[in-house]
Amino acid sequence: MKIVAIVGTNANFSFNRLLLNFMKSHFRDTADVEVRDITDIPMFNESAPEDPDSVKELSLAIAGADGVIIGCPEHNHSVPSALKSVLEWLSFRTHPLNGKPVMIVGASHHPQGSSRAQIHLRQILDAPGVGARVLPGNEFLLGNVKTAFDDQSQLVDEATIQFLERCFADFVDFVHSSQSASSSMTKGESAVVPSDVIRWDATYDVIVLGFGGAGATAARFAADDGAKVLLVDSAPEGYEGGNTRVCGQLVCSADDEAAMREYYLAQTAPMELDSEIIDTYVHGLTNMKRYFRDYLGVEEPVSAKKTFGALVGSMTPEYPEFPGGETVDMLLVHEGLLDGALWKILHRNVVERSASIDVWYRSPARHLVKAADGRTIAGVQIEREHVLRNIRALNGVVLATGGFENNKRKIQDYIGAPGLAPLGGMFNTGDGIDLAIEAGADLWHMANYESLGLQHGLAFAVGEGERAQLPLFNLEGFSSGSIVTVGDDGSRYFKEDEPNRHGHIYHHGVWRVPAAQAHPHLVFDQAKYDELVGDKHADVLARAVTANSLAELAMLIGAEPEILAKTVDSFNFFAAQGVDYEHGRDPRNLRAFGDGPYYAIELRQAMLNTQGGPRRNSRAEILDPSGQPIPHLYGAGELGGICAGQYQGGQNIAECLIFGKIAGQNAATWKQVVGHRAPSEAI
Amino acid sequence: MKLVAIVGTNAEFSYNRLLLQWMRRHFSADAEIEVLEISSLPAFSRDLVTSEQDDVLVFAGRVEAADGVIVGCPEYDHSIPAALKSVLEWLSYQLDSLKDKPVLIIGGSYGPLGSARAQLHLRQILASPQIRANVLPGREFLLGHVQKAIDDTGELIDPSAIADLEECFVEFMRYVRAVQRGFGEVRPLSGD
Ligand SMILES: Cc1cc2nc3c(=O)[nH]c(=O)nc-3n(C[C@H](O)[C@H](O)[C@H](O)COP(=O)(O)OP(=O)(O)OC[C@H]3O[C@@H](n4cnc5c(N)ncnc54)[C@H](O)[C@@H]3O)c2cc1C
Ligand SMILES: Cc1cc2nc3c(=O)[nH]c(=O)nc-3n(C[C@H](O)[C@H](O)[C@H](O)COP(=O)(O)O)c2cc1C
Repeated sequence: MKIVAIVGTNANFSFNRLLLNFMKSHFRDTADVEVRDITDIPMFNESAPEDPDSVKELSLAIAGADGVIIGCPEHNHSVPSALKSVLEWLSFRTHPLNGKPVMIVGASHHPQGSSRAQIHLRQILDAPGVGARVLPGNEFLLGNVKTAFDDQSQLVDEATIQFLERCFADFVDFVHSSQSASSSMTKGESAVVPSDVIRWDATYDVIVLGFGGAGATAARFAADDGAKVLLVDSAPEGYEGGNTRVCGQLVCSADDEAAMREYYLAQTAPMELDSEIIDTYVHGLTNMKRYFRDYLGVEEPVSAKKTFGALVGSMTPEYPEFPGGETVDMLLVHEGLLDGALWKILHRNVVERSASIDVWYRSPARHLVKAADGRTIAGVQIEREHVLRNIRALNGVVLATGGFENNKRKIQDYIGAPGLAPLGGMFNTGDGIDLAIEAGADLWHMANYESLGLQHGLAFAVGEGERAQLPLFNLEGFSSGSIVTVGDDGSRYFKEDEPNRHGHIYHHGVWRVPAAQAHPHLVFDQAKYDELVGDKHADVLARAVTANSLAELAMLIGAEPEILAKTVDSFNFFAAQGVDYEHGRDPRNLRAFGDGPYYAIELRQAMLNTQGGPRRNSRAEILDPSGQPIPHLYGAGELGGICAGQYQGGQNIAECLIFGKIAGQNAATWKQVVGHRAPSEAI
Repeated sequence: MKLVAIVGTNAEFSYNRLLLQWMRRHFSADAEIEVLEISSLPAFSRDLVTSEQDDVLVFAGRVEAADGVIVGCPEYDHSIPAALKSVLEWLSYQLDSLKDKPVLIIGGSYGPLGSARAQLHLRQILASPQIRANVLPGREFLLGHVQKAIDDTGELIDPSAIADLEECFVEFMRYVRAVQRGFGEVRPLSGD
């Protein structure tokens, strides 16, 4: 269990810091407690253009922790301003404490030991912008603190230690139970709010949730059909755009509709998609050039097939084995990759329509509001400036909040994988899945995700909650010679030199992303090391751990010594034979390991984007488990997209463009207001 | 009567600032109100020496010289803003600027509650033994939906809010005089 413990004062000397350090060492067998100071965090200021780096860093650390302990001094019967300032930052642009289990402890010079500050702190943590889950009861108040510690900084009173142990045990239980209590980050309020008891804060025709490629497209087309649109994103201004902003900007397209259909069917096998949605999508792909011209203002899109070799060229088609592949291409708005060029156009198309589209940043959708019929979606609860606002949508709500790339629990539940290293937008936490579940939607494609990177989709290891770098430099050196990639136990688990297909590799007749390992490693010998140095990989080599024997190396990387030894033995045998009997690596890429020293570099399975989310039909209507559309609810983009099975590059953005348009237009069509009381307009 | 009015936030825009400025104009016949900004004051730290903090000392001097203090208090996360808390720490740690000082708390917020929760915290903080201010008892001024009550030119336009605030202010001036007459000698029994 990972716990971040915050010292609630900026003072050089603090008894609360002593207390937290005591807890860190005393509970080290139960939890990994990281004590963090707040001295470098400046006074909160609402007018600051962005969060200071120290705040961003703390926020990430909290986001990655299972729980938080706050050591709270008391100043003037309340919390110190320095701590309050930190909590204000953490409730402003980022909300890492939202739903996070928090334990409060406090030490003070006086006998009542920070009791009043702790009460204030509880109230503050309960404010909607903060939204922490504070451990009930268990008030650990350390009074008369000047005599509480010995000169080794250990608590002296046995009864006090026992009470702290009880409180901490309760906190550990509390963390576990909060983790299993609900799969959603939202808190408190009943899941779906019935609209006849609601006061609306504002009314729009259409509300679009998520300002990425799909949401931008939906908002734009809804506005063009005459709707007054509210577009919201949880990211602050400048950070909207989700995966779309950072993606390759490649859009799948085709010339021949019948061939594209055949190819697409082979790709999605064994999934059975309904033929209407397939037709809609394939039709969209074959009309992509026209879409670029008519809606994006791009007369002459650049063809990836014609323009780029190597990596990108090998994706057109990504599955040459499949029938119809010759028709597949990918389009770009100009000759450039990964530069946000398409996103800028999609973004501009929203901004230019500011007369009919309002954009709210830092405004995550929290809940859907149902009409009195218990079915129709009547509006959305959106958290804006720490306040939940009830916004009515007369004609429709579009879910376009992207995937769950940054939600560890959802990745465990749906993909069955340990933490994966995200390559894209950091605000995609799968909120749309919770909203869809509230609305009664069916889910599909939950286990599908795409990857990219070194070999079959690996990145150099990053900490939890950190974005990984897409390793795009010359990578062949890591897949040839005396080097192998091993999984958690120290055995090889795939063919290292197989070309990357968005993470999928050949698996008995289909292409699948191999089961993700928690800590895969590159393992290599001195000869390989020397080659890599010469091959300009020196900065990567700085990450290497080294040992003289494979057994020692195995210990260093958490693998089984016997298995690692056997793996290298077999590999050396394959090299001698010139055949990789295990995984079929090209004989030219096999070379036996030398005697040592040996090296290892930690990797992480990379997460490009998820595909799961609410099931929808060709009209972008979101469906319930019986296949009936949920009235007024639409979806687009990678949140429940139609890319399933084997992924062809460019199809995610194509999905955003094709279904974003359909969702926006259908959401905009006028609909009769479904039987709820005329709500009063507040504010 | 000479009063200072503390803007309880360091934000560039604040309705509470507008409210205090409105009071300065509206009550100019009865009292001289000086509006004090806190945004240039450093963040409180126990490791800094107050006597070396010129800005803090100037600020404290103004507060000490006033007959009474008005605090315009926004609500951040159900409590008072850290920036305001920091000022109160400066004024009470190695100084005693607010001791016995008559204080009127006012506050406005976007929602309907008008910073009620922050005002309660502020009362408790001002009553703590290190500060021991005399907060006007029995009266509250909470301005909900500030963005409607105050117009673009900074005028308070809600007639019932004006009436409430006038009544509050008259009461506060009576209280300031009462405290000046010796009421200020009262000490909490458990003070330290
Ligand atoms: C590095 C990288 C390269 C890629 N390259 C390509 C490529 O070349 N071609 C291709 O087709 N695909 C590519 N992909 C995949 C593709 O980028 C995504 O699938 C696609 O952009 C998804 O678009 P979207 O609109 O559905 O979601 P996003 O663009 O991710 O937008 C979702 C938005 O919703 C917001 N949000 C989340 N929760 C909430 C909430 N509760 N309330 C309000 N807003 C919320 C997020 O802040 C975000 O802005 C790539 C992905 C990555 C990471
Ligand atoms: C400005 C200021 C105000 C204080 N007010 C209180 C108080 O209201 N109650 C209290 O118990 N201690 C008060 N103290 C002293 C605290 O007991 C002490 O600073 C702190 O709680 C001990 O924990 P620490 O060593 O982690 O700071 C105050 C200290 C300062 C600097």
